[in-house]
Amino acid sequence: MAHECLHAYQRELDYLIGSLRRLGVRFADTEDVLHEVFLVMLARWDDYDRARPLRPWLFGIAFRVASTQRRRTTREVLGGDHEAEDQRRGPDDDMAAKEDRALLLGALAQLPIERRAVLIMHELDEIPMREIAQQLSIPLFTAYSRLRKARHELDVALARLYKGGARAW
Amino acid sequence: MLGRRPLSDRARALLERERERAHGWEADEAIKSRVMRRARSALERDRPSGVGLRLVGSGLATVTPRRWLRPLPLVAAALAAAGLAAASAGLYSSSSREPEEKPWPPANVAPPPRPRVAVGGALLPAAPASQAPAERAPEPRPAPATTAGNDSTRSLNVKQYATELALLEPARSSLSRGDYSAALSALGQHRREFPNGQLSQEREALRVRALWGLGQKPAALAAARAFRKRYPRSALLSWLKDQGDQAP
Repeated sequence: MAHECLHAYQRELDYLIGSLRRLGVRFADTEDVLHEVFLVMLARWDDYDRARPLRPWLFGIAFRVASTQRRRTTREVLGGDHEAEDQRRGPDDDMAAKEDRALLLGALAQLPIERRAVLIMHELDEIPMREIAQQLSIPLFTAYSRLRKARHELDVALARLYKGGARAW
Repeated sequence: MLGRRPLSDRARALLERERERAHGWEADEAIKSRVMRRARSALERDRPSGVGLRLVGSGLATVTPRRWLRPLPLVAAALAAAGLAAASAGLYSSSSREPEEKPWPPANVAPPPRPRVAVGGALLPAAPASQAPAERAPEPRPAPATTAGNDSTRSLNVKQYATELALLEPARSSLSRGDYSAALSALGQHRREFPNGQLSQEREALRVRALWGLGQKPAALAAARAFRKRYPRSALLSWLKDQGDQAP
C-alpha cells in the first residue's frame, strides 16, 4: 500500500512541483514542501477513493501544505511573497514562454491563496467545480464565489504587471 | 451566474498557453532524485523521517530534516545521555516505558467542541470519522511494540504518529487562536487515546500553554513542574521559557 503511494507520488511529481510553484511555494522551499506533501499522502493514502481522479486529491493536499508553509514562512521571513522563477535554469528554453509563466506566477501571487487555489484547479487543471469544492472542503457556492473573485483579481493583477512592464519583469 | 465572470482576453490567452505547457515544470533530475530518496527513506523508517513537532512560531507543524541534519549527532548524543541518566536515576520503572501518568486535575473548561479543521489551516485533515470523539471508545490505545524490521509494526507506527498529529493539530491551532478551552479539550482527547503516545511530550508542553492561557496559573505551574520533572532534558523546555511573560 505504501509502495503504491510512493509510485503515485513519483508519477505525479511534475504535477506537484507545478502546483506548488503556482501556489506560491518558493523554489528554495520546493523540496521540503514536496516531502511534507508525501508524508501527508502516506498518512492519508487509505482514505483516497480510487474511483476518483488522483490529481484533485493531490492538489487538496498540496494546497493545505502550501498554506501551512506560507504562514510559517511569512512569519519567519517578512516579505518575499513572490519569488521570480529560478534564473539558473528555466523550465523551457523559449524566452517568451518563460516570460509568460513569470507573468502568470507574478499575477497569481497577488491573489489570496484560497482563491488562487480555486482558479488554478479550474482554469489550469480543468477540474470541475463540484470536485474542487469537495477537495477543498468548501461549499459549492463558496467555490464559485472564489472563482469569480479570483478571475477579477487575476485580470487586475495582470493589467498592473503589464503596465509595470519591464520594471517588474 | 456565479463563477461565470469572463476573463479578459489577455488572461485567457495566458492561461491557455500555460495549460498547453502543462508539462513544462520538469525540475531537474537531481531535485527529483533527492525528493524520491527522501520519500523512500521515510517509508523505511519506523518513525516517518522528517516529521517533527515544531512548537515555536507556527506551532505544531511538520518539519523536514534537511536543516536539522547538521546538529543531529549532538542531539543523538544528548538523547543517549538523557536516557542513561534517567535510567540510572530510576525514573523508569521496571519496564522501559514511560510511567503511567496521574490523571489531570479537572480544568475549568467548557464541554469539548468537536475538533474542526479549517480549510487550509491544518496540515493533516481531521481524523477519520471512525476516530471522532463521540464514536470512539474511551479505551487508551497501547503504544505498539517496536520490532525492528517488522513492516506491519512500522506501518502501525507511522499511522499512529499521523493519527496523533491529527489529534494534536486542532489543539495547536486553537492555541494560536487563543481558544484555550478548545485546546485543552483536544489535548484531553489525545491523552485518552494515547496516554503514552509518541507525542506525549509535545501534548504536555501544549497543555502548559493552554492552562496558562486560560488563567489557571497554579495548574499551569504544576503542569510545567511535572513536565520538567518528566522530561528534564526536553528541547521543549526552552520553548516554554521562550514564551517569556506569557508562560511559566
